[in-house]
Parts: sequence; structure tokens; C-alpha cells
Amino acid sequence: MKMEKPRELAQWLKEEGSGLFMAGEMCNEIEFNGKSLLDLAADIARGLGLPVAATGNTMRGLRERGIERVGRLMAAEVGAFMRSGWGDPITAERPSTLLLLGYSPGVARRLVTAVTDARTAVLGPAYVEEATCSLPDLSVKAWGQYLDELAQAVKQGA
Amino acid sequence: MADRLVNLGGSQVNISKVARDPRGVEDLLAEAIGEDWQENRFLQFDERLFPYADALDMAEWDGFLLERYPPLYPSLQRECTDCPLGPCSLGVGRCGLGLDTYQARLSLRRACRGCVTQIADSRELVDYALRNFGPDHPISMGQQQDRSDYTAIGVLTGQHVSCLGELNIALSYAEGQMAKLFASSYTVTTGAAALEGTVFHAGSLLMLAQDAAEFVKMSCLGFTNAADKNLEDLIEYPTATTQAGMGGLEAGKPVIAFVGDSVLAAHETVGLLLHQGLAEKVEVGGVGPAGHDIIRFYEQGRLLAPMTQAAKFLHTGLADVVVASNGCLTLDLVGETARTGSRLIWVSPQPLGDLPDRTDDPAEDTAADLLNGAQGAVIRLPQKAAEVAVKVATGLKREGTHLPGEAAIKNEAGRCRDDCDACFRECPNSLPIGTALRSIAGGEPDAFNRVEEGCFFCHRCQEVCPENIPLLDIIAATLKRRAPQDRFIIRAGRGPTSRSESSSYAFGSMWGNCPGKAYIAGCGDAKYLGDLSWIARELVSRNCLVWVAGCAAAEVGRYYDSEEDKHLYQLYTAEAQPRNLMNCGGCTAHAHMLDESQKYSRTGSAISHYANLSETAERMYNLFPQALIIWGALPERMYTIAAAFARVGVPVIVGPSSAFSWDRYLVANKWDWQHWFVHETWGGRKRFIEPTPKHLIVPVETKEEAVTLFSTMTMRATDLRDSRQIRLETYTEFNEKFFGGFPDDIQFYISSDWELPLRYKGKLLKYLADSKGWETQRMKILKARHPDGRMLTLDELAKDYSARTMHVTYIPRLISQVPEGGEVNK
Repeated sequence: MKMEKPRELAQWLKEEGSGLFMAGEMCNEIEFNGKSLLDLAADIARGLGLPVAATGNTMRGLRERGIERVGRLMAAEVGAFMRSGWGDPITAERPSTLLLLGYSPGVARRLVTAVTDARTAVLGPAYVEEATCSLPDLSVKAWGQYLDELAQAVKQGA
Repeated sequence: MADRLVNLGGSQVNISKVARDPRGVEDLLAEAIGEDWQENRFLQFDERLFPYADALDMAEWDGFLLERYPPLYPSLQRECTDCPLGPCSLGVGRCGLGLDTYQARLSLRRACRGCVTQIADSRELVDYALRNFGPDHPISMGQQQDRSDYTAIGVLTGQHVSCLGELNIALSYAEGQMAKLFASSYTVTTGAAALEGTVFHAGSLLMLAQDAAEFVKMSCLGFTNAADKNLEDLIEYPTATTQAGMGGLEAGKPVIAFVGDSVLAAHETVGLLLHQGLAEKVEVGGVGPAGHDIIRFYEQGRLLAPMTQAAKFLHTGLADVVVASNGCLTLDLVGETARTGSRLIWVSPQPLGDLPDRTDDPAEDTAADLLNGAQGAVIRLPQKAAEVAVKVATGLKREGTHLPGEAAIKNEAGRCRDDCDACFRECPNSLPIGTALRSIAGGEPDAFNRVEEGCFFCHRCQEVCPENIPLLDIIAATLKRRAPQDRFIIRAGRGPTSRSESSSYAFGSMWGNCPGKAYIAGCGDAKYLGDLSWIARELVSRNCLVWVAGCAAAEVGRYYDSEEDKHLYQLYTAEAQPRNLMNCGGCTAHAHMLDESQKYSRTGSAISHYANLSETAERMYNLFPQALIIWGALPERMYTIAAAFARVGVPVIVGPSSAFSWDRYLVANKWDWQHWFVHETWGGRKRFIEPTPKHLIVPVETKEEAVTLFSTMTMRATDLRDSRQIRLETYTEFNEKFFGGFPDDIQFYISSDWELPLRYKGKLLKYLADSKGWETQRMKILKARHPDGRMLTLDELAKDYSARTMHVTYIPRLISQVPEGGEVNK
């Protein structure tokens, strides 16, 4: 499902209870006019009240941004834990929705394909048809604007 | 069939009882038993031999690994087109094929592709050696190796090879096995895990083929061999004086660049240049495996670039003559040389584009045609290819460049739109291509440097650019501008590890002053230039023994210490001891790393490796602290190499971005504590243990994740106390340094106060008390929490949840047959 409007996506995300936000290394690499992708990841996760699986080197930055429910995982571990009953203390129950931000489109496609029995939302700049829902293809500038609006929308309760 | 008995100490071994069908191989089995077995093991265990093994012969071990680390398939292919009944959308196909099994088929196909190019290269070498030296020509891994030293050939066939004729038989076995595996990749319909066992087998066959290639290179072509040296000579062997990088090329000299696996034409070319007194007038270099091979027999050779940079290097046109062969990566050789005006000589037996086959033509005629403008030729005889290459290189006049200058680049960059960024979305490394272009247009001519360094030249950005901006030309022009500064010093490959080395480091690496043995491989740096040298330095400076091979072996040398005025290879010595950095050689030298990784089963546990993979691998998996890091993997060969190492108990960490395109990972769930257990060798009691190694093949995004994971992947269920302490110290240090806290799973790995690293002891005890609910008092642990929730004293925990220092097994037949207090009955 292609989510053209940030507010629609915010609404969709809010509908689901037990989610897990995955923040990948690209969060440390991208900046939009002085705001980093990691800032936006923290804002969105906070707005949705979701625990964060910090993959790559995002753990320290997320803590510095005040995210408390954060644990360090490797991206592939999420798929492995999901198929075998979960168990990671970052969240007591197996997540029913995964949100991915900070992964290249190719990596995100692979990660969502490895996950079964869960909804997936990819917040990268390219449409990922294997995900349950995804942003459309966007330029870097438009992607930053989209995520900014999404962060505002989830903060305001969509 | 008459019984064949072999004397072993005071016992006799009946060959037909230890091997299923020994017909035709009785002599080699008798030799292996008589010369390499230990009577004590034979008396205690159900010893078996699997000469010239099929994949299924290893099922007892492969099955354990694949149950502990079930395959995870992040594959995008959901439709099978393997047979005329299809295509079938999976689900379940018309033949009963399920999705997981189909993914396993794809995994096997990928592994076969990785293996078969190496087998082809090894076959070319063996045939060349047989023609030139004859089947009785002696071959050896070195004077300081003996028949007890592990080789992939010995473990799969049972054969100790000592001449070219025997090597030929071993390679023929691998070729036959490869045909079976390839057939399986189209015919097996059920059982993904079993099929993944055949992926392991493809890995083992690849190592056999690489062993075969190394035998020829060292015994027939004069390559370096550390196992021919005395221990005291190895500290600086070979000396770290080899020039690497494109900047080493001397301006004004013609350049012959060898690309691909085959080294024969390069070997002939160097011989010819030396014979004709032209060595000072022509630069001979290699890209990828060819480059690593050249510097093992020719001190003036240049190692120009790793395979991740091969296509980009060709596009620069820096080479006057490109001598190319089949290799690990498919390159657009015809297109690139047509663009640059470099002359192309193709030496492999397959056709290449429309290049004429000039193998039977006089070298003078072919050279004249190339000098007069012909683009290239197929010349399948190495000696003739060398003759033509030298004539063309010394006679060719090339002028100008097809690459755009600074003004033209700025002009092209000005057409980039900020509402697009299709290139960024398509780039597998997520390089900020559009942003960099717009910066160039805005007056920052160096803005593309970062993009160029992380680019594999996959072409995707240019293909999707709606403005048709010539991105490849811009990237290559950026590289060409950087080329003069691209120079660093490395140590050429050394070949194998000698017996005396492996015996001397065995205890040094086990007793608490070494976090583990690190093997580093890969096709070159990936997204960031310098990652590989950073990884190597982090590990070697923490007292690891670090072995490198393949294209990664050069890239680790990039680190430069300005205070010492030395590159990494100059900073660390090269003997097999903690805090040393050893370059084994090019791509075929990965076999030396794997052979080295398996030595301790024989050295420390008296396990003969001949036709005996399961037992050898299990010992290494249980005991020895080692892991392989593959960085910047591109071709399928790395996928197969990973399978080879994983099968023998060496866990594999792959990264960064390109690793996520692999078809299969072997990852487990550390939190599922009942998943992790062993059996005591004496009595067979089941014991739960900590999750270690916690994965078998796993991708990571960053170099920091890689080294941190390495520090737990080297923990083993039967670790000694002091060695566990240093691994915990490194694991804790990396976690604090890179991620700002203690690892959330550290409680699994502690079974004694004495294992807590001294510099973190107080903090760790507090963390265990506050975060994990352990009871502590001052600097002591009073009670620890068992994963099932019970609070136990450490003595109780050790009895219930640990196998530290014990002798354990996963293979039922290796539970001792000796009854308690009873007599051996064999």
C-alpha cells in the first residue's frame, strides 16, 4: 500500500497497538536542512509511543534524544526473533507491526521479506511493494518534508 | 569383500567398519589410519571415515548446525520458473516445491556459481602444471607442514596429496560433486534445511579447489610460502614493502593490467619482461585476485585495486593493455576497453563478445593488429598472450582521455534536478549522488569524492537518471583525479601457516591474552574507504591474531599512522601470534585461512582430519575462539566462502550494505534459552549452555557492529576462565565505546566472579544487580538468575547452565562408548 499523505500514514500507524520501530544506520547519515534523520526517527517513535530497535550505530544517538525504550539489535535478528517466539526484552510481546526507517530501499525490501505474520511499514524514500505500506518514491527534499509532517501528525494524534 | 585390518597401537581397525564402502580407497584409508589416527580416540568413540564425501555424508554435522541456526530467507523471488510446468507462484508449486525449499535452491545456485568459477580456474592451473611438469611432480604446502596438517582436500577425500597426479584426482572429485550439487539446485522439492547442507558442501568444495590452486602456485610457479620458512624468519615475511594502489604506477611507463582469476599469463609476462630486460620499462599490475598473485612472485608488481573497484578502474583507462580472464565478477571488458582505447587480451577458453580468436596466429601479427587499432583478441595460450601483451604495451601510443574535465562535469551537474534523486534511491550503498552533483554545480568540484569512494560502478544510477547525466564518466574522472594519491604499503601474501607456528600460538591464543582469531575477507572496501583497515586495526591492536586474504588483504593496509610514518602492515609483525597481522594472499589463499582455522583439532585433540569433517568441525566449533568478517562482499564467491567457514564452526559476520542482498542467513534466537544445549561426551547428559556463537552467518550494517559482534562470536561453550574474561572485556569495551552501555545479553556469558574483567568488574556487578536482578555483595556475585527465572548460586548455575571447560558433543556417535568404570570392547 502506497501512502501518499503523511496524515494517512500516521492514522494507519496509530491503529496498530504492538509495534516496534527499527532505526537503521542511514539515520546517522542523512540530514535535511540541519535536522538529521535520527532526529525524525526519535520524533516519530516518541509520537507513536513505540519501543525502538536501534540497529547499526543508532543506539547512542537515540538515547541522547531521550528515547528510553530502546534496545540494540542487529537488523537480521529482528526477523530471526520474530519467527521463533520473540523474547527480546525491548518489548514483552512479539510485535505485530514493524516500522523501518534508516535502511536503503534494497535493504528494507530484504528485511520486510524475511518477516512473516506481521505488518510492515517502510519509511524510506522509495516505494517498497513488499511492505504492507510504504512511502512513494520521493526526492531527498520531499522525503524530509514527508517525515517532518509525519512526525507532526503522530505527535498530534494524527 | 575381505576385511582389511590396519594396526593401530595395540588395536586393529577394520576399514570396512569405519567406512561405508571403502572399495577403491582402501590404501589411502589405511594410510590415514596408520599414520594419523590416535588409538585412544578409536577405542573411546565410534570413529567413522567419509572418503570422497557426498554432501549427505556430512548430514550428522550439517543437520545440527542448521537446526541451531535455521535459514532465514530475505529473498524477493516468490515465483519458480525452474521447469516447464511453471511458472508457479509459491505457496506450493505443482511439483510440491515450497517457498523455503525454493529459496534454498536459489541459495544453492548462488553457492554453485561462487564455486564453479574457482574450480574452472583451478582446473586451468592443474592442467597447465600437468602439461609442463608431469603427474609425478611433487607438490607441498611447505617443508614446515606435515601430513597431520589440515587441508580441505584431506578432509573431503581422505587423500594426502603429494604430487600433481593426486591433486588432479582430488580436483576431479570436486568437479563431479559440483555437477551433483547443480542438479540438486533444480530437482530437490522438499527439505530446505537439508538443501542448505549442500550449500555448505559447495563451500567445502570451493576450499578444495582453492587448495589445489595454491598447491600449483607454490609448488610450480614460485609463489611465496611461509611454511617453507623457519619460525624466526616469519616475523617480517614477506617484508612490508609492496606498493599498493593506483598511485604506485610510474608516470610515462606503459601499464599492463591483469584482471580476473588466471595468473598464468601474468607469470609468463613477468618471465618475458625479465628475460628481455624490460622489467624497468613496463609496469605490471593486477586488479583483484590477479594483483594479489603477481606480488607473490614479482617484487616490482603492482596491486592496483580490489574487485569492488575493478569496473571503475577499467573505465579510467589507466591501463594500456588489459589481460583478462574469467573471474569472480563479470565485467564489461569489451565495452570499457572500447571506450578507453585500452587493448584487450582475453585468455580464458570461453568466447568474449566479437573478439577474434587469435590463439593460433603468430604473436607478431596479432600484436601488429592491436597496435594498428584492433580492440582486442582472444589468445588462450598464456605464453603467446604474454608475448603479445609485451609487444603491444611497449609499442602503443595512446593520447587523450574520454573522461570529462572539470568544466564539463560542472556543466553536466547543472542539469541535476532537486525534485528527483532517483539515483539515490537506486544506489545499493545509498550514496548521496544527486546531492553531490548539485554541490558541484554550486561550485564545489570535490563534492563527488565521497560518492566515488563508495561506488561499486554498478551502473544503476546512470540507468535511472532521467536527464541522462553521464554519472559513470564523472565517477571515473573523480577516481582518475584521486589515483596519484591512492598509494600505500602492504605485505604481499605469505601462503600457509606452518606447523611450528600453529603449535606455538595454540596456547597463546587460549589462555587469556587474546580475544580471538580473526579472519578478514571481502572484495574491497564498500561504502567507506578505510573500513577494512579500521576493522583490522581495532582487532589486531587488542591482541587478536588477524589473518587476511583476498581483496580485503590489500585494503586493510590503507591505515596510515602519521606519527610513526607507517602503514598498518608496517606497524604489526607477521607471525602467527597474538597482535600480528598476516596476509595469506589472494582469493585462493582463503583456503589457507580455513586450513589454518582447523589445525587445533589435530594439535590439541588428536582428531585426524582425513575424511573426517564432522568431528574436526565440531571440535573447532566447541572450543576455538575464531570468527570470519567478510566486508564489502560482491560476487557469489564470497557467499560460498562464508558457507565453507560456517560449516567448520567458524561463524561469519558480513557487511555492510551489500551483505543484505544475500539469499540466506543463519541466525538464531539468543533469548530462546532452551534452544541452546550440548551433550556431555561421557554419559550423554544434556546440558543447557549460553547462546554461543549466537549466529552462524549474520549481516551487520556498520564496522562497529562487526567488531563488537566478533567479540561475542569468539566465545565458545567450553571456554576456559581466562579466555572468557578477555572476551567479556573486549565485548564490554566495544559496547561502551560504540553504543554507550553494557550489552543486554552479557549475563548469559558469566558463570564466575573470576570471569568478570577487572576494569569493568564493579560497574558490571552493579549492572547485573540493577538490570538483571542478580544478587551481589561488594565484588562478589551471590546469586545469578538462570534463564528459566530461578536464582542460583554460581556453583548451582555452573552445574545447570554451563559446559565451561567440559568435553561435550552434538553428534550422538561421539558420546563415548566406554561404560563407566568398564572395559573398552573393540
